[in-house]
Amino acid sequence: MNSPLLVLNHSRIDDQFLSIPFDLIADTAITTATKAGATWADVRIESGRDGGVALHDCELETAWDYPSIALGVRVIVDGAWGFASDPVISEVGARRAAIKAVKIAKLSRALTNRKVELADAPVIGRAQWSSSWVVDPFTVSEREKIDLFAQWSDGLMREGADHVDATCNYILENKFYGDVTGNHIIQQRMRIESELTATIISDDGKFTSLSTLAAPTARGYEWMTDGSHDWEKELAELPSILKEKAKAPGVKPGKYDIVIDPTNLWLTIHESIGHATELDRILGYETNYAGTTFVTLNDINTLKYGSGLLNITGDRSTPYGLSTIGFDDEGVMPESFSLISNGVLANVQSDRSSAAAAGFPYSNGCAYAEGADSVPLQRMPNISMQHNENGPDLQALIGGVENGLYIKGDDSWSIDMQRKNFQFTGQQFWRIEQGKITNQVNDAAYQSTTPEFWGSLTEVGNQSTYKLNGALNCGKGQPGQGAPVSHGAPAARFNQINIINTAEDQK
Amino acid sequence: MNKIASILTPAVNVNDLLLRTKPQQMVEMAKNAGLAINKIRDLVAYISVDSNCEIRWASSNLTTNGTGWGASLVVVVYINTKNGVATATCSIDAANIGQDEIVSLVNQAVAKAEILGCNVDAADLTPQKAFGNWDEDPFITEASVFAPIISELGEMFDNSRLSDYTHAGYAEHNSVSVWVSSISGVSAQYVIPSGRIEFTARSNDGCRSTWLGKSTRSFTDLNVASISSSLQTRLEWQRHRLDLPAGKYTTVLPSGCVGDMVETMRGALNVRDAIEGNSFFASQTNQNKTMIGDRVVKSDANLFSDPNFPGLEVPDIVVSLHDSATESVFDTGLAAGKTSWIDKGYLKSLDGTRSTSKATGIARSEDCGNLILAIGEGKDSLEDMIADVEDGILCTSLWYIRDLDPEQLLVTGLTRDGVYRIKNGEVIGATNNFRFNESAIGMLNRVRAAGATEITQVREHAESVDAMAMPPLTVSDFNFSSVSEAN
Repeated sequence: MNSPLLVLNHSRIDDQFLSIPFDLIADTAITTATKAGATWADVRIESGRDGGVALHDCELETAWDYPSIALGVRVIVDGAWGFASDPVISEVGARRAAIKAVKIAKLSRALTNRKVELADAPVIGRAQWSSSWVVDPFTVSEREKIDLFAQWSDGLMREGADHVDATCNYILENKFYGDVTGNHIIQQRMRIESELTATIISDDGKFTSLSTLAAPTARGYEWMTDGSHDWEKELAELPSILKEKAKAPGVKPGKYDIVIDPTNLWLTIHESIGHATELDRILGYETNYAGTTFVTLNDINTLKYGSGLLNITGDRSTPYGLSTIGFDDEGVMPESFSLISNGVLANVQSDRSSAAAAGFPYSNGCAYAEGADSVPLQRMPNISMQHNENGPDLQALIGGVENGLYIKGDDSWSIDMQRKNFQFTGQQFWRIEQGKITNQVNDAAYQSTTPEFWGSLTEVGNQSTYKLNGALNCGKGQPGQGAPVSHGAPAARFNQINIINTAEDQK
Repeated sequence: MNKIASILTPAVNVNDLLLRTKPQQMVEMAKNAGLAINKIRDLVAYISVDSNCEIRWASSNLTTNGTGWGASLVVVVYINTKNGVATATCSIDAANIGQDEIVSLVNQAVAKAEILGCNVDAADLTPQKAFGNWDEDPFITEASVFAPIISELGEMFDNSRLSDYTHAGYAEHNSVSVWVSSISGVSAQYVIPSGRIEFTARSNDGCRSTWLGKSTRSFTDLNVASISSSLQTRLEWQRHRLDLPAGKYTTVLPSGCVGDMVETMRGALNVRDAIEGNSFFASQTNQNKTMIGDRVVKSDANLFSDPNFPGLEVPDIVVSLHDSATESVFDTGLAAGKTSWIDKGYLKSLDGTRSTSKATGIARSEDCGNLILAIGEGKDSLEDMIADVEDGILCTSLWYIRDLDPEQLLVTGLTRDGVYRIKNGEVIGATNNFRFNESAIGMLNRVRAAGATEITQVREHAESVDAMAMPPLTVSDFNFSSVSEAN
């Protein structure tokens, strides 16, 4: 481990984390494991912190700050995986985890005919990387956060909301990765999500809610104050939109041309493209839980996924992207790649073992574990739909629709285990008549299948319509793990999509 | 609670404690640190030592696995301020800490309470009698817990290789050992084991797929041969395919599917949202602003939580480390007895705290952690219920269930890994998957027949729900909104 230090991004990793004797712990684990029969061993040490505040009707409901620390040792013994974790960050913990990992690998070997292999990966050596945050939310007084959200909640209630729920959640992730090849990688990431949801109770007892559309982001507390999201504007507009929503008629079911805002489209990309193109699902590893996929390995470069306007990329380098990182949890420097090119499937997401199983020469860097006490899985990079340089702006997109809907903000989502049949609702459904937005409608959901939906893509907005959205906690794997991921998208138009009225559908 | 501990075999009793400081000592250190601070009115110290072990399989091979453990110390401080009582909760990884770290944690919590200010729920803690065996060591589970099933699992894999299907699945076992104590006298020790096993048998051509899950706390009570036989029966059923369009069908739901649907209404069973009008259970006409006392489902459904329900025992004490709509840190130490949520179709109670009870006049009710549904005198098995259906559908697992309309408790979701056509009391083949738009209330309104309540394993909510007993149900007009082509 004497290679020079490779530093990516501006590095400001926590001193306390840096004081951990990584070399000693990693060497202890790796030596213990290899002496016990492991042919591969990697060691991750993670120190995390999950904090936040939640308010209900301007009053603090709860404030939390959960620190966590663990080390995890993953081994391959005679072609079988073994994994164990320990909360004691020392030689003792490393040795204990390594022994347990080898023991469970031997148990696994007895019931495994296939041998695990890892696709080749260049040795990185020593490296550090940090995401680009400015203000550590954990250094901002809880009183300051509570006062800010109480003030904003109060503003919404003064403008007619009967109830307001507000949350601010921030997460710090410090991680070390080492393995038998001599990799020694230290990284730090920060992310934050804030949301306010206002509710109106009508005289007839009906209740209607509307949430802010600000996306989670890989930033620090500056997200709340530096103007990179215009909170004041969004909160000023919210009450009138909510009041109109509360009185809006139910949608008339049928086929509509729909314009989907990136605040809603990101989730459809996530579910119908992101999860469908995960190599571990293609290979059947998620059959019992997350599911399989309609995509097969033979589909690469042949499957027509959508119209020729559809271009999707995968990367772990988008600024402020929730999946953005220097190196994945197998020490692979991620690559940016085209996932769908001009409507045709061009690639899939992989980690080292799934890449080897599929016969790929290398992984594109999509391994992630939610902590050192979890085994790495193949998880999504930032998966984004590309805008059209010469495409219309939002006004022109809407202007071209005679009878349609404009959909903003995500809400309910559901998709089958092969990622085909889906149903999504939204925060706001606006009627478009003769190219103009008229009024909101309620109880609407768009129901389609993946190939049909993306095949109906007829217009893609220009850069002015593009926005990065995402989620802090995409779930996958058993035991379940959450992963943060971003999805950029422009506004886009889809023709003749089936809209149902959820209230009528049930009757 | 020793009843629970006694079935936790073959968990390991770890005497060469992995922890630097024994749990009981950490609790005392935290309380002593609190006693040394004048403004502290009370302090709750909570230690949990958790351990886990899991194996996964796909294509009839074990794939990933894992085993681990951890410990955390949580302190809740209650301090006197000029305006009332302020509270704060702070936690720390407790595997490798001693006196200094614990004193520092208590000081940190006091400082945080001063910042957060007065807690409007303030009340004195009222400890019940101590329970559990305070001096117990933690139980740590490990891979040997799977010993009772490993060889049979291997046989299932081998048999599938000789046939035209493969197995995917998952088994996990968890153990949480807890010690909780307060300056004011709360004292409780308990161990909660949990676990489950899931199987998906899938034909090599991907056209047939079936799932079965079982809840278990020990892995000694599983009949793997019976599970294997059921999977094969269901795969055989699927050799004959009879597609159906979207529509409303009489549907037989096994207990796990019923559990997944009932879970979708659990969050709405709380006083605060109902009082505020923000819930299905709100009422504009009743004096207490909730539907308590009203008939909420047409069937004679009894929905309740019971800490002493056989096989689903949970601690009968409230431990609240945070505040929420249904929790108050001032309620730690109260008894958590049996609560009837719905009694013969009538809403009986809603989850709340002492504080919400004081504010609303509605008696405090506690969700102790398990949930049981019983309808009438149901004694039938799933097979009996299929035999009673002339024309309908058997749907064996529900998936990707999400809220659609909280006002109606409407959800959407999909069927998965096994939908079958029933004719004249027999399964005559498989049908396609569907998307459904339905509600738990609608389901309980349209019960045609209810079977015997049994401890069950849900699928959609398996990550968060591990203590349910539900009956299989036959439901009229279950609303399948569209066809899903997925197999």
